[in-house]
Amino acid sequence: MNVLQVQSLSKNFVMHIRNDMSLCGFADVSFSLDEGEFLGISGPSGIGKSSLLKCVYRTYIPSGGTIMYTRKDGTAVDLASADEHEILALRFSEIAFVTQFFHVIPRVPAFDILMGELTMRGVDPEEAKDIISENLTRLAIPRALWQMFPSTFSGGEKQRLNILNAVIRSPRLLLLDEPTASLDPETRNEVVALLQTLKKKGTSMIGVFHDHETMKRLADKEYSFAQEMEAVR
Amino acid sequence: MNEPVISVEGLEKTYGEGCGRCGECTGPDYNTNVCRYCGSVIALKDVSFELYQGEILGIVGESGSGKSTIVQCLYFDLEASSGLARLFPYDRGKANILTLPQSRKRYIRNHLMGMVYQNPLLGLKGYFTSGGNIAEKLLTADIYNYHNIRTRSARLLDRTEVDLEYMDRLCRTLSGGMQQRVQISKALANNPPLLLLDEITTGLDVSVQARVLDMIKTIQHELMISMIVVSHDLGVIRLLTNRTMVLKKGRIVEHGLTDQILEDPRDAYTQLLVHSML
Repeated sequence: MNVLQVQSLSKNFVMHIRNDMSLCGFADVSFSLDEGEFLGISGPSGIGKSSLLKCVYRTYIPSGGTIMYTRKDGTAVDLASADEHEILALRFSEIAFVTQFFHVIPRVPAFDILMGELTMRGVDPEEAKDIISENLTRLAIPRALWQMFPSTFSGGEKQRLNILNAVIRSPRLLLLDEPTASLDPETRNEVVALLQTLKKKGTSMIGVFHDHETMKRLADKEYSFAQEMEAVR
Repeated sequence: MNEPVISVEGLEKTYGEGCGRCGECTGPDYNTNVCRYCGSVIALKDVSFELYQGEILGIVGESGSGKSTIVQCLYFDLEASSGLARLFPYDRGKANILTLPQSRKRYIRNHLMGMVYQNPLLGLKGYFTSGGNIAEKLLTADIYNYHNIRTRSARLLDRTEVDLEYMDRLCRTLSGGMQQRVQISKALANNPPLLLLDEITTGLDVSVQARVLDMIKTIQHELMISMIVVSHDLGVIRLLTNRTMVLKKGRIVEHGLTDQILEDPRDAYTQLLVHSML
């Protein structure tokens, strides 16, 4: 079943405070994504990989094109033009984004952050505890850190917490912006395994990676900005 | 998050006579609030928005942009010059609450809304104890039994992490951070469907600020209260709100999802604001 259909998507930025300077994020991107499929996005820095993800999540408002998303109930919506409340509802129940930065309220323990994500979605607190403990163990976050604040975490630990924050909700569509950038090979394997499990359960994913090896292990197909650029040249 | 709690259309607040040409010479494009023809101050004009159940809406803008004026008009601290505001828990949203008689406005304030001011002593009576302040709010919301008031006050203070030993102390003897938490307890006392928060972390040191933010977020999760958060601190806006409106010279210059406003602002003023962030 098709989950996402992106057609001629483009993004320009206009900086009004720099004499209306215009910057091209990316142009004319089209692809489709099925249920349980993983699309890897590759290309050099600054070519628009993250911008593409942000457009799908609507952190960026696309300048042109459509992003047709098929909801769980089978109805379709264009994420490029959907109403703000519609987007919020989808973010709550179906679409998650692992960004490169993890913004949380200071001095809230890691465990409680994950707990909040689940309980606000109606998961029973006891059940939520089990899910969280299992996943924190799986991604090798030391038990001693569970009740600590993320601000005390190392880069790699923060990144894993950020991934879990999205993954434990079992979203239908998961967007990943360099999820394994600062991980050692062993934990990277764990993250890959976790994402593979989620994928088997039917989650569709779009991921940006610098590390081509990792991407190949997950991706069913690849969208390469570099090749697109070469084709244009 | 599928039903509006409040919808506001064309909210306007003018200080002065107003002259019919006020609209054409004020606002962000002219960078002034003052009408060139009649000298009136156009504090708010054409402010329209909807707030959904369980949603947190942020209002940002520079000092004097009209942020606080919006919430003060909705809480009836100020009288709006014109506009339509429908509060859905009141009479199923059929009435314009801005034009109701005083007694009805008082009813709405006592039963359906909570307000937290930047200055805690605006929302609290300094010469009352913490418990007394909350009791006052409960009494106005028609809860009269002494025992009930006492236990409920204790529970409210506990939720905002105020030690119970402070319950019988005079508010003016408490620290600023503590007063702010008592004020939040008081605002929540009547279980309002709508909570208005006006610069509540401004002036608190960062450690207290973190606690207050966490508390607000937890309360919102637990009770699914809708909130309007006024702040000039974009960090607070990012952590608390789902959607944000940017105000300049009394008009909305841009509104959108909070992450979109912060990462892909399209209005020149919003870009200036966002790129000035530390």
